[in-house]
Amino acid sequence: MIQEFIMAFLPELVLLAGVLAVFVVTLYNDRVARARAVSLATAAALVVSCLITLRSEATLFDGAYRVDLFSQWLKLAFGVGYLAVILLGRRVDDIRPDIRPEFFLFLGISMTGFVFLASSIDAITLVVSLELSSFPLFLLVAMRREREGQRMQMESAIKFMMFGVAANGVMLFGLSYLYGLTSTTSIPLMVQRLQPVIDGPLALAGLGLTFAGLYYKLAVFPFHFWTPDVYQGASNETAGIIASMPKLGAVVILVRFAAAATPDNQLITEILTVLAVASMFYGNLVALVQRDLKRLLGFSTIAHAGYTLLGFVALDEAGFSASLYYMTGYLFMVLACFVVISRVSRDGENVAIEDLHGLHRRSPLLALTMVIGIFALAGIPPFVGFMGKFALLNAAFARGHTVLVILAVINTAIAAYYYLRVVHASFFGDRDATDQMPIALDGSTRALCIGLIAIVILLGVTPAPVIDAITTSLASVVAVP
Amino acid sequence: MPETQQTDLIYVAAFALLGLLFAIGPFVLVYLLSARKTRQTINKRDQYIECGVDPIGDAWIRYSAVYYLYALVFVAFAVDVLYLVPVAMVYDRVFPVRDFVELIIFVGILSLVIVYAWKKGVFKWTRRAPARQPSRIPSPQPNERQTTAA
Repeated sequence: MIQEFIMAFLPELVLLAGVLAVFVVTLYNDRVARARAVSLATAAALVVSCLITLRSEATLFDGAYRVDLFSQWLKLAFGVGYLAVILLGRRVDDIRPDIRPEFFLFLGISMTGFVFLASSIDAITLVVSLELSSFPLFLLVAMRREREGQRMQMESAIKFMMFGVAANGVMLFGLSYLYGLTSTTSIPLMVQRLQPVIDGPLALAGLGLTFAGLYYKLAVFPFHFWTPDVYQGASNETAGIIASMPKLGAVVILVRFAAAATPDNQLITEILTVLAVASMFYGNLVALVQRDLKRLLGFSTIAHAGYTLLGFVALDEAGFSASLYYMTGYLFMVLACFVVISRVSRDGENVAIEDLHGLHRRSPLLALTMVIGIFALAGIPPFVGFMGKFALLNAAFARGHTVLVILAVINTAIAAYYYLRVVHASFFGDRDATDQMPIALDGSTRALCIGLIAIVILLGVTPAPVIDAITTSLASVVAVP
Repeated sequence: MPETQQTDLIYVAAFALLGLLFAIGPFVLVYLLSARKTRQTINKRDQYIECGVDPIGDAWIRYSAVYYLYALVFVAFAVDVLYLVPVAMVYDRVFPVRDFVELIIFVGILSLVIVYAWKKGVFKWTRRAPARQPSRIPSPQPNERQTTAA
């Protein structure tokens, strides 16, 4: 009994123990290196324990927490992301010096939230883990150090927090409607009991409000407002975290709730279509004129949220698994871009596109990472971005959303322009380069670059096993019991 | 329209009316009761708040942030004690030992807040910033709170 529990709950236990250890480290001053080392060990142990428990299945805590293949591979993705983010934050120079160890503490707490999120099948557990994952991120934004010409982090943090809290409130309100309709907080039961009343106004309002809170995390068009500002104001490492983890988390919960509307639901499909088109066009068109690289990625995030919604427009298993596959890939593509931004940046400042001039000479590996990350985001084969987009378009096309698919393809073409500007800057334009100094990379950064490149290529060239595995694991989530 | 719906609508209308009265009533009362004829308003129109005593100095002064950290630690506890109520509701119903252990874990993690604040010197009541000239724009002091920043 206890042994089974530990086997199923091992990743969480490892992570909790690690975070407690980091907490002890933060009690003393100037222990950045140790905090990072402990976090690194925790992340490595998390990945290993996720691999060990990949096949375990259990329902824990009176049915509030489900461990199955679906949750375990998500935890694995989060664990690898956590490892990458710690390697990315090598010295966390741009965090206020007196609270640098706390950066790793809050990162760990946030990761705990994401890992719990993957397994939560009860509305209350879900909300708690969602808050646990988002509140530390608000703090990470505010922890950027203040100096001449860099005062906007507080504004960003306040925007992030205000929008985030409001979105959480909206989502809770929606959940309260769903609870009122179904009189249960267990999500599978809720989804099942929603089936007969799914076309009623109350169910639609409840689902719509719940989705709105998640769209905020995903940065879908009318809820996108915070994204570019927060990316710009947060330190490079923090922006990398905010750009990657919460998106995957939001997609996971969206899948859990969207399963309620699986039969052909005209209204939900229409709403999702409008949102997808709006965020694709808005994100891509505004990104065209950006000069700050992080702002550019912020707007491109909005566009990518639009692409992801294509899978939800399809509202079937193929669509959901395409969305999950795309977001898993996106996690690593965007992290690859942020590795380059963090290393190119002088003393933690924001990076403009012009700062990339001559990058291929200053550091070939960084230039390669940048190009692969950007090509993957643009959707160029053989990287994961292409296969992800292909799977999404395929799923939407199979359900007959031809116009939407055409609009998405047009958007991919628009996006290629600004992505290629970044590539152009890093490989050409040496003459304009203001800084010709080579960038020295340490071993861990090299390993991180190579690892991310490998993941982006591997996920892209072998999509079938990954998508199949996701679809198999989805069966327990989507199928109405 | 069925009769129950009509009564419901009447209820809603009654509540809306009462709410409106509640909002407008004070204005009417003040209008009727205030001493408009006898009141002295010379030199008092640009005060932000009227309380009978003339304000002393400007409201935009700097004061110590020590109290604010105390207050935050207090709030952390005040809010979290709320979560003990549901535990108390079901305590000792089914699994006494499990309830006790979970309570210990919860309060234990909560008390780490105190450990952290203690270690970072929040509980030392010291005035770090010497009194300055009151200024409208607070100047940034990046190193001022290094020992206590939480």
